[in-house]
Amino acid sequence: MSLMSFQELTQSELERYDRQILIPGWGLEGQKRLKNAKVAVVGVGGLGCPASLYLTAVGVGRIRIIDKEKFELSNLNRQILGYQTDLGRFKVHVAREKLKMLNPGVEVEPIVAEVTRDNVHEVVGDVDVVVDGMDNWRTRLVLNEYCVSHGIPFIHAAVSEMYGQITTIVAGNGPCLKCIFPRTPPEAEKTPVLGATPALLASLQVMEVVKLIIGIGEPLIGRMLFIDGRTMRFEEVRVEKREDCPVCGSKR
Amino acid sequence: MRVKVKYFALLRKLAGKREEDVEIDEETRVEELLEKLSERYGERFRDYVYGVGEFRGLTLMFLLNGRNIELMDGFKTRLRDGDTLSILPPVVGG
Repeated sequence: MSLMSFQELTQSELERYDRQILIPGWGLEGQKRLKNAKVAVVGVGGLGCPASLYLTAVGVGRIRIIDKEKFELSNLNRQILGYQTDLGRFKVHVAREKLKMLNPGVEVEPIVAEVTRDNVHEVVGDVDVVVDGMDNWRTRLVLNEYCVSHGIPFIHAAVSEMYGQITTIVAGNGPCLKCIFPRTPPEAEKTPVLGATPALLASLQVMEVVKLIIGIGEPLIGRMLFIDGRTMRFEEVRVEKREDCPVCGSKR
Repeated sequence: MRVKVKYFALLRKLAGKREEDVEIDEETRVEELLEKLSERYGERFRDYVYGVGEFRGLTLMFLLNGRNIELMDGFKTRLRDGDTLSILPPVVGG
């Protein structure tokens, strides 16, 4: 966020965001912070579609959406930015169109790419927060490393069936993904999932993003919230930082 | 001594509870605790925990007081009084 380009709120924005500006601790200052923030959503799937929708609705000024895929029929049970008529189109292009229709004041930057260790600097770039919308650990760990080394908060979430997990990673304040998962967990070719599950987790991710940008509440750092939709119970598990973590440890 | 075990996902069904305190001997290892629980909850519980049989290929995450047991001695890790062991399923999708 550079002070030079700090933007004030317009009359129409004051009206659009009225109900959230009323939230204690939010106010005009909070809304201005959102307007001047930049967030990357990596993966426009079951998590990334609802996450980018709510980030757009809440008025994050610039949203970078990254995904290399095109919409397929089997995506539509959960990737709610993709409609029947969007099959075969790049997800990020479809998403940008719809997000702009929802809120034209938000700058949406679509990037057709797969994040790798080699391109992560360029593709994710200089943002205030990164939202995990990935479906694999390989890329998550690349993002984790990038975010830790650049001091960018990273909101991890993952889903399966009616289960989900979420934790907020802020380098130096708590564990990173590598502390929690020292060995890369198994990947899955096809994950069974009820669409409402990633929607729930994406909502939680957006709440974390907003809290961090505005500076309210208590982030989910050092805690992993596990959601069990089958029994509809939410429970958190403590997760500890490793001093000897190869990614974030002070005794690397 | 006593440790707390927290179950997630299918384990809640197999154990019929979300968590419990288990009385164990000093120096008990994680695998000995899992063995004791498997005897209590049956073959399916054991298969699930170790990722064998019906659950072949499944790898659970075992967090001991917030640290992955892979960072210690894995299943050989010794438990101490008051420890909390959380057993979580792998969740990868997005």
